[in-house]
Amino acid sequence: MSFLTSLPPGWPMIVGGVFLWLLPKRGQAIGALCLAVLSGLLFWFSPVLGEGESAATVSLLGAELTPIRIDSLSRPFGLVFHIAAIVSSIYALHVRDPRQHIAGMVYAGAAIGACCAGDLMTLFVFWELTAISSVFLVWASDTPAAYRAGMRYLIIQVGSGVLLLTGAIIQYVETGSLTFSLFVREGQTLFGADAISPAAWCVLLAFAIKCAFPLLHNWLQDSYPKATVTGTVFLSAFTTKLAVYSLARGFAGFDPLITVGCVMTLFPIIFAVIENDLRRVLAYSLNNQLGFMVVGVGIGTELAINGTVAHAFCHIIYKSLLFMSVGAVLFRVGTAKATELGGLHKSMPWTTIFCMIGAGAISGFPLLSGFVSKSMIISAAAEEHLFWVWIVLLIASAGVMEHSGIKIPFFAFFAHDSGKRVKEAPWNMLVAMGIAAFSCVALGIAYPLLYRLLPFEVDYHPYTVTHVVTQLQLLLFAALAFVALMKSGLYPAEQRAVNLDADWFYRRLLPKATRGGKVAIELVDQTFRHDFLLTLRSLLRLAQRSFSVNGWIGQTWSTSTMAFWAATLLAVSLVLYYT
Amino acid sequence: MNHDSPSTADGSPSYPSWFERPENIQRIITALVVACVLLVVADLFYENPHPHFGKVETFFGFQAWFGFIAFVVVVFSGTSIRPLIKKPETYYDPEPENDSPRLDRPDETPGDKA
Repeated sequence: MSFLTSLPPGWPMIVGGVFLWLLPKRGQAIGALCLAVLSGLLFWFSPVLGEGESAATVSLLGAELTPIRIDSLSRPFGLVFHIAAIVSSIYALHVRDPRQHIAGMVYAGAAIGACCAGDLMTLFVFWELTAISSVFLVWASDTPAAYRAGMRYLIIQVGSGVLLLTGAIIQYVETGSLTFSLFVREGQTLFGADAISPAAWCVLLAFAIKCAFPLLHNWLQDSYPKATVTGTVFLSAFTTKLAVYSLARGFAGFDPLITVGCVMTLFPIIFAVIENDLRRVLAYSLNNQLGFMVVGVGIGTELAINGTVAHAFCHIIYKSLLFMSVGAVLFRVGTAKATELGGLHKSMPWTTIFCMIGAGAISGFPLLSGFVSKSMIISAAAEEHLFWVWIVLLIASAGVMEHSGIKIPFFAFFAHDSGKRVKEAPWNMLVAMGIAAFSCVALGIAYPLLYRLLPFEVDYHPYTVTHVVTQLQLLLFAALAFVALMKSGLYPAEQRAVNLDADWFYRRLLPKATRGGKVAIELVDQTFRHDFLLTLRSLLRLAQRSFSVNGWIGQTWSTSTMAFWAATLLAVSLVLYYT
Repeated sequence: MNHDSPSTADGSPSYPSWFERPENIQRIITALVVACVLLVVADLFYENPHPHFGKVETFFGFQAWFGFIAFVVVVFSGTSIRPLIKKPETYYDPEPENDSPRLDRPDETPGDKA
């Protein structure tokens, strides 16, 4: 047992996942599920570090490494990652594609390993492994668009890993330690006299990319909707929450994160309003939820960090649930575009119910999981008297109600009848969605179970009269606004379109600009080459003419002329010799 | 065997479900309005024990009208940027029809028989 627990958490999924292809095709999915369950059991019984204890270290090439650190911050993430892996594997039980099973398992295992890494080198290894394994879930769609999106995803993700490695090396050179701990002191800023160190800058940027900070976010909306139905469920759980964990570990209480988080909660909701592809709407919604967590990390008080961890925990489950239900629609109907859906509640009643539970949970309805976690972050902002942050988070909450609470279920399952009659989702999808939906309700009601997992002692009670009433006011009046806008025809109609976002810069502008540069270089190159060739050719022609039979060098000269020149040469050498 | 692909309601008349009948939609809306009114009225019967932003938070029905306005603002911001960023579906990809992912529908999906 001690040998088994001395291996990095998640190893059964990484090691076993690689060998899944040895199983017959029908058994691979079950094999993956078994691996996830096995890994989950091992993790549950792994020893947990108490306050002040330090994890066992390993010496490698003169550097002290801490491959395993399961403490009160990493344990909740490890647990929820295992839950996500198990639920996603159940959801993927019908898939007969070894690539997806292997990629899903290695990816989940790597994410778990990364969140339990005690040093930057181990973190880097697992960080890159999540990037390299997850891209196969995008590529498994087997479309040219998915291939290109996967390439962009891979470049960005690996780039994040390279930044992390750079930061780790600088850190090691400066301090001689690779320990992954807090990078910032209180009151530090991004620029100026009390700015964070270059190592912290690099690591922060690496985390920022994976956490989809504004302007670095588009890999998420670009790739997740292009992954396979089951792949997106895996993707939605791990990468970004790993980044949230890393931020909470390395940058808790770093003030600029509050601003970044506020921006992150606001701008995706605006894009989500007009987005047609429902999986892309969910990707924007994911971005917006990450904003809440980043604000929590930025505030950095015990309540805020607790809120961040709790919100990440609940978020992984309800976001998986939403991706699963939209995935089930895509699986049956063949599209996830709002313009082509509607009226599916008649043919997919269970999926509809599960989707609505997920939508209620993400919006933060009382008795569901979002209510007990999101409110901790909002309360933390209020307790620090950050008025504008509080206002922004309230707007964002109304925005969540708009895109995930109303838009997703309404346009997929209700709205106008699209005339599509399909079967209910396969049983394994329903089971996975059922487990997730049950968890959303269970976490919302039995919230002390969740609070017990959190890093700090919790003294927070979500179900106060004030909180329940104000939250319901916010949500129901948002719903009322939806009804009013719909009735008055002011609600924007769904339209088939591509909406530009920051990825336009590297998908359009940069290739165009480099194409311009390429043309310029070609022009200069061509001119030079042309001129050079012309000169060379004329020289050759001159030589040819001169050395030809009739040329002035090549012609036969008379003996007297040759004798004269030989004599002249002798005379010159004589003179040179004696002077 | 083409049962998975979307089919329009050919032959079988499209029946309106409970949620599609106008009188039921009206009922849902009425219920929502009643709930909203009750929630605002509820403000009269309790007091926020720890207001952090005194004047704002204890303002009558603050989160109610705030939620309404925030929702409308979010939707209008979306519609107002739409003309700026909207492009045809073929903008990045010349053939968006090939855009949908592999669906991994095996010949016999477990549960299909049910």
